[in-house]
Amino acid sequence: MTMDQLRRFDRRVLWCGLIVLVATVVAFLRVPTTHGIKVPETQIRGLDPSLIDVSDHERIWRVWWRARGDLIDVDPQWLLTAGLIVLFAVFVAGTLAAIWFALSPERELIAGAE
Amino acid sequence: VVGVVTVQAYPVESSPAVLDHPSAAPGRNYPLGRWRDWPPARKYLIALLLIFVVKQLVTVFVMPPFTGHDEVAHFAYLRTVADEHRIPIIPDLEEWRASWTARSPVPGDYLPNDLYRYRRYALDWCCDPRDQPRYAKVPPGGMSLAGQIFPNGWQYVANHPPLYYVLMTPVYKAIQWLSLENQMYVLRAAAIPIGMFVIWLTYLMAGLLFPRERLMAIVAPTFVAFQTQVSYEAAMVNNDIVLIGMFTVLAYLLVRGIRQGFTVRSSALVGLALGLGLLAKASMLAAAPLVALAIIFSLGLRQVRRWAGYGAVTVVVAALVCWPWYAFLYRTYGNLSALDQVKDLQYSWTYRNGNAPSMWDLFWNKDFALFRWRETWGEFGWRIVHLDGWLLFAIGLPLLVFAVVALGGLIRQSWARAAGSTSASLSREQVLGLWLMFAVCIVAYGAMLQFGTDFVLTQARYYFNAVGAVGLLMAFGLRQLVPVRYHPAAAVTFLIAMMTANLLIYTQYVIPYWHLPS
Repeated sequence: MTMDQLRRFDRRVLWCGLIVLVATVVAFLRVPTTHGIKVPETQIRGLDPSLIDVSDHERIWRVWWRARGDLIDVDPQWLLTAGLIVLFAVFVAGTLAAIWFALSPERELIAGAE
Repeated sequence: VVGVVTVQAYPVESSPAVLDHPSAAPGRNYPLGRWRDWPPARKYLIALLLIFVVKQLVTVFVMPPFTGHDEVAHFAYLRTVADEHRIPIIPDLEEWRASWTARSPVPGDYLPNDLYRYRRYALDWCCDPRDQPRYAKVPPGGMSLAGQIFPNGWQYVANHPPLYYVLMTPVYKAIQWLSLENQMYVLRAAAIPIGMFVIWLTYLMAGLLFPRERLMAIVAPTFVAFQTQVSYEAAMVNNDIVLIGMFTVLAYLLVRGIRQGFTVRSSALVGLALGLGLLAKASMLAAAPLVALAIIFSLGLRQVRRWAGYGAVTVVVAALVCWPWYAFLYRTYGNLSALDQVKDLQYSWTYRNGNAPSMWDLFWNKDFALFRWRETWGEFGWRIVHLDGWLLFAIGLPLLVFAVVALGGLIRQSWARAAGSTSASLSREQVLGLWLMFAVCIVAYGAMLQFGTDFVLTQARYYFNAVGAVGLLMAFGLRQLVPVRYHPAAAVTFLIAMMTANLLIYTQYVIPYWHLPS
């Protein structure tokens, strides 16, 4: 890469790339999770919910992936998975666009000065 | 101009130019100008709204049906409005007891039996099937508490005004063929545009107070979009989100009045917002002193005739808009809030033994304040999903720093302006506008404290109507801390931090609780 190319290189690409990289690493982190109880305590005589261990650990992406089938009943289920993947893609694209715009140069000031 | 060739100046202007001013986006053929000529902050807003919609759609489905604050009761209210074209009634306790004793039909409205399976998420709707097996499917009509009989499953949100339910009626009518749970999802999604509206208004307020300051225009709406409990309200069947919306409209109109001057027309618009807010939730009444403050200090204390005139216009318009609701309340309950009736019936949630705290007691009560903080970010599903202290601390510490810095900066600027010092970098309108934002926070928190003097079940969401003001103050605090050249990086960092907080809350607590149970 020549100096001229480097000068024209947009630093926002570096920012976005770095954020995507960090986000990908974060998605594979194992984090502590706090769970609910499958059967509400009101339905089991003598159940003491405080005696149930509701803590666990799971990778961030796995939490979302495992939960997907439980969100809503859709037939066929793959339709829900596809819908969630589309939403995720839109979310990622929107986030990168937001970062891009937040870091973009103040063109309106230049336009105002002209 | 691409990449690193930037203009790093962020001028503080005293003129009332705004971010969305045409000069900032000189398009000729389109009303909002061409996309590529839009200021970056406006483009950012569009991206933020897109992210918000996706996040909200996920929230709609992540939270199981009817688990939101009072969703069962609000859904029942909506049905009464949509199906019976009337407002539900809170039963009068003495009349109810007389009818109950005489075994005649009892007065008032009650939560419908087909929602009884969601009783865990409603107040005062017993009973436990462990008491009687038949209570698994059908609720008893009354319940005995401390030797006295009370109605069971009465419509406890019937004291709320009807605006939200009227707005949702066409949606409900269009989806009646769906199952109850799917109706709930659609109605929740119908609240998302109101959340978007609040974000947009916060962006506009930032632009009015700090024209062309990208940090303010980015951070303030970002805070609103990622405040977890406000987002929860904007994906729920509840009238709170309409109140938050109308309160933010009013705050925007007051900031605009401070920036551009109040007129008869703008005062009438303020009155319209106030009146509509009062048709959404009675908490809007707390906004009345803010209107007075904004008009009086904007015009000047000595301009008595002018501010009295504008104030009168506001009051008259607000009264014209909301009087039918208050006439209905007075005719039905003999008072203007129906809270006396609610107090009589909410045996478990009121102070019966004369030990009610004062506002001052609650203000200095550390446990009370900490619980409100927990509810501000967590306690989803009617205080079921709790967050850990470390996370609440990690969220709270930087926000506390921003708040302290914002207040300190504002006091310093006010002092400098009063002394005529050259160090005053904010205009009078900016200082007034920021003080108004602080006043919004104080009034909202004070209204919540006042409610707590009568009801045990005081909740943080009663001050969520101040979210736009809080967002602006957080942004101002950050602006004071970060040098101008680092503002873009600070804005991105704030976005990432808010997203991370949301990711952790949903990944560690909300989703495992509801969808990966032990």
